[in-house]
Amino acid sequence: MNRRLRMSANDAVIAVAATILSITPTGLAQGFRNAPSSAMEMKNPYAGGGPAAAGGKKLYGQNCAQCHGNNLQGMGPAPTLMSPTVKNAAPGELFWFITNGDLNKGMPSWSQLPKQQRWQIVTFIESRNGAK
Amino acid sequence: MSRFITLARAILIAGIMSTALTCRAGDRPYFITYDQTMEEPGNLEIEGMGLTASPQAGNSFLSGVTEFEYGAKGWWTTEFYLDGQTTANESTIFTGFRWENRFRLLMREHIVNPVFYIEYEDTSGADKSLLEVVGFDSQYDGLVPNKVASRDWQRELETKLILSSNVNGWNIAENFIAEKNLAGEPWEFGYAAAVSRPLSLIASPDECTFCRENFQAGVEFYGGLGTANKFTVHGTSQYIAPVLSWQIGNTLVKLSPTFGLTDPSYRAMLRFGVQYEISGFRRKLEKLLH
Repeated sequence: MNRRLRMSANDAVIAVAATILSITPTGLAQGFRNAPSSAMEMKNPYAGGGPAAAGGKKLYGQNCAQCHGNNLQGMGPAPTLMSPTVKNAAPGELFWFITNGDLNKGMPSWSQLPKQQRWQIVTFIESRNGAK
Repeated sequence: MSRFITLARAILIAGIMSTALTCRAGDRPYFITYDQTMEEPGNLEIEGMGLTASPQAGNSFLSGVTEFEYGAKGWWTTEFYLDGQTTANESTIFTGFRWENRFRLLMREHIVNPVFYIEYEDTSGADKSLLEVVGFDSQYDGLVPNKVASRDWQRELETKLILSSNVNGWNIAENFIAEKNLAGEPWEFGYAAAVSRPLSLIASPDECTFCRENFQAGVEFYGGLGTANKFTVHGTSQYIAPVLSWQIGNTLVKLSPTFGLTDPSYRAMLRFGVQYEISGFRRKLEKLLH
């Protein structure tokens, strides 16, 4: 009887672990920084680099480097932009996050930049991370 | 007069000389109207603004405002102002201070982005900075000599609802102003609205001083809307003001010729400003103190 109970407890632990494991991938599948699914479908008009990427480097230096570092390495509370999370994010998700920021966590909204310039910054970050 | 002009020139030169640093705020060219842009958290922006006018019936004057804007949070910006003015044939005087706070009401971007603004100001009747026009403010207020007007100190609470949109590179901003003199006078109302756009929406690849994307142009409209007892535009000051800004590194230079549209308005004024941003101010300060 005790043995049967112990087995049931083990089964319960396995069931809970399986549930957690089954939930985790779903959590990871959510958009980058809570970006909506529509952001994934946005196309980068400057995909492929070129002069737009060069302009993006300048914009990154002017607007982003003070917190994220000249080499995207991150500084203090501002995270690195070379992490797998950023590398795996869709261009549209990066664009969405730059546009909205995360005001509660210190990332400002950059909506005051024209959308062309926000895309240029995305293009630069992707080029540094080896765009997929 | 010459002391203020010298100060204005010094601020301008210091601003232009500071172009070696390469971060910027992306601020609008406006002098009166606010948009939804907040100061980046931990950054400090210092701005010197001037306004000069030669009223038909009074002495020419030059007012100056020094502004310290700090990004407390991503959604909260706080600013402190010191005001002064010099009037020809009269005197140069300190005219008070202001403390304002702006709070973003929605944490994400929307078609229209609301920001709540609240300010406490303690200024004398001689203040000529005209950072807002409310009630029945008029050019005739400026005819009172400095030595008389500076005895009358006013403590006021000012609120604004800022609505702002960014559409296809254009910024469109509207501010609704309600100001209350704490001595018990009725609420006074005013408005400001503006539209602006960078001259180029795409950044050029190279660092450049005269690139089109470094310039923004637009126009501001502002004026009084009467008081709680008489809500009207009749008898109020109304202005139209083309605005132009030039971003040079982390310094923004702004200029705005301003034209009065009604009798109580100053016929013409010239506003100018230089703002300089210290990036990572909080981080630098913490490093210094530890």
